[in-house]
Amino acid sequence: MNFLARLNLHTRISLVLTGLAASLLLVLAGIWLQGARTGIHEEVEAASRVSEQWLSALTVEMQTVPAAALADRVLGIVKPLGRIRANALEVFAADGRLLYRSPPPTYKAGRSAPAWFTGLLAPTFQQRALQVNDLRLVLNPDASRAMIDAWDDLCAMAGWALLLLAVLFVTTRMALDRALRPLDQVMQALDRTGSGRFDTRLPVFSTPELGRISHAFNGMADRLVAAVNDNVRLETEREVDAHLQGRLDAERGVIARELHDELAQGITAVRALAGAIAQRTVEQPALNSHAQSIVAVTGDMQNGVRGILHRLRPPPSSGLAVTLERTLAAWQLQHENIVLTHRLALGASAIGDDVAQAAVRVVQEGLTNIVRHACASQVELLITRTAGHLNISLADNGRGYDGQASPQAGSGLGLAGMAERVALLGGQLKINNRQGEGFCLVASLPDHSPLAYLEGQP
Amino acid sequence: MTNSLQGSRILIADDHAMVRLGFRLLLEGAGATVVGEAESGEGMLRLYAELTPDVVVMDVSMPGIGGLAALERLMVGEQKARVLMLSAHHDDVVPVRALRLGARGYLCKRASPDEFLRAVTQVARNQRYLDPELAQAVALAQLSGAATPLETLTEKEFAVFMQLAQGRSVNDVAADFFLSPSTVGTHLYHIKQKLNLQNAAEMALLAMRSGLIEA
Repeated sequence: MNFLARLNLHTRISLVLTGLAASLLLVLAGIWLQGARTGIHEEVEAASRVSEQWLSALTVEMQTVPAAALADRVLGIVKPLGRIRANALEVFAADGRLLYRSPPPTYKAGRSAPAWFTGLLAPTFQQRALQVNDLRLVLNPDASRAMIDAWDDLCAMAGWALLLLAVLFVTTRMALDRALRPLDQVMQALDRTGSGRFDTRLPVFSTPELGRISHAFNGMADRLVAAVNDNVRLETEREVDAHLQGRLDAERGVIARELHDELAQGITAVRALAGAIAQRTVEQPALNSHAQSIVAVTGDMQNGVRGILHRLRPPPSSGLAVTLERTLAAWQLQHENIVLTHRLALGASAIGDDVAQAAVRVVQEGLTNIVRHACASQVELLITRTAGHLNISLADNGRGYDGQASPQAGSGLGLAGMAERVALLGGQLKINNRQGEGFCLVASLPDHSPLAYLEGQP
Repeated sequence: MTNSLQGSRILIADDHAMVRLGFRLLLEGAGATVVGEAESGEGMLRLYAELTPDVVVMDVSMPGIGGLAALERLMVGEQKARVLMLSAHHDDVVPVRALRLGARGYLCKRASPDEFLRAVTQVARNQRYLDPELAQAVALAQLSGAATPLETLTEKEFAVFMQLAQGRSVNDVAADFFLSPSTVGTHLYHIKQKLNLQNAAEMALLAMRSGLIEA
């Protein structure tokens, strides 16, 4: 079986066909053997009868011969004849002595069919004995010559049959080779595609089935290329976005530093100088009030600078909001048939990096699940912050969770992984399943990282 | 109040010349004598040894070792020194540090000229002074008990943290503090351990969020 499994398809099909033909030939051989057996029997039987009649005639003729000369006469007639038509003749004297035995056959002398063949085919005959006075003539029917003829015929036919089978095998194999040659191309194309060469295409083969395969393969490759291009485009957009955001942040940093180092210090200096003038002009009310105004205005300016500096600081939770917005936009782009609405109320204070990451992961995983299992047309994402918690609610209007594992690959790990991740942060993940009314994923993440604590300080 | 600073000998340390000029005029208008001006912590230490002023008015952020490290060094030799620290930041971490290090007073630079003079006067009288705008935050930070992770740093580590968070290299900091780079490296290691930080960027982020440096 192992050996068979190692043969390729062409050889196996050819072997099966050849085997079938061989069995057919064997049956034919059986029928022929049956016929040969009957033929041989009839032939030898007929020969024996003729010989017996001839011997009977001889017997009648010999009645008149005196007993002393009888043996010589009979032997004189019989000896030149030799064998009588496939019958061996033996002459015995009255005392049972063997006087004469016909010589072995000259036809195909010295050869004989194999014993098993003879056993299979040879008919059984009875000796025929005739009494001529004292002499006993015994006829032994001998089918061995007919047998060797049959054997020779069989060998010749078997030779032809083997030749025929060999030709059949070779022809079938060549024909299959020709017909299935495109399969090699298909396999090469699959290998190339598997190793990342998505530009591989198959020619349309003339065989209808293979033609359909190449059609399906080319369609698949086209869609693959489109998907890869989409991914590359999204990735590029994301990189450009990140790059721009980075530049923007850096520029903001520079502006903030200059505001702080130069402008704010300058204002402090002006304020101190104006204060010094006010100090020295107590007796000159006109000048003094102007100086006081400068002090007051510089105070406002300092507050203004402080406000600008505050605004220039990247809003603490902007990272999460931006990431989420991007994730949602990319998802929406890929799934235009699903309407995604979202409301992100992330608040002004910072969200710890691990909590933010977990939030993004939960949203991504949830959206992936919706695509895989929900058959939803509407999805609603809601993220809010309550005292110390970040709450995520992701609801769809799909078919809900029916308690059965989905046949789709990778299912069943997503929810568990999500729950694990959330639990690690000390949060909770709940699934509000409304059979037939969609699926609602609710996650609550505690939000008290040291940085968030610091950010809460005035 | 105008004459309350009469006779006080004051040393100003600030890296902005105009700011120094403004403070000098204000202080002189109040009757004090500004005996010297320094533009770095190191300069302040040198001038202090030379002039032994009554009061030092010093900015927290200056080139070199900065105000806090200069304060620490000063207090080692001169426990009686009266120092008023000034800062452009409005956080609670630096004031607490400065006051612990032995500063008599702490004031935001945004304060009005009158408030500035009041602060210097208080310090000159060897009384403590804390900017009213910061007082609440500092008090709450002390009360809440759950001190910020930064509280766990030693003074030396905190000074190194401040310098490194501003993006300076270990070698620069080592040169400024007259330490070997490996000593600063050890400080850095402890800082990272205590604050659970991975790299310089996180350090800068924490410092920024704590209000120790501006964005």
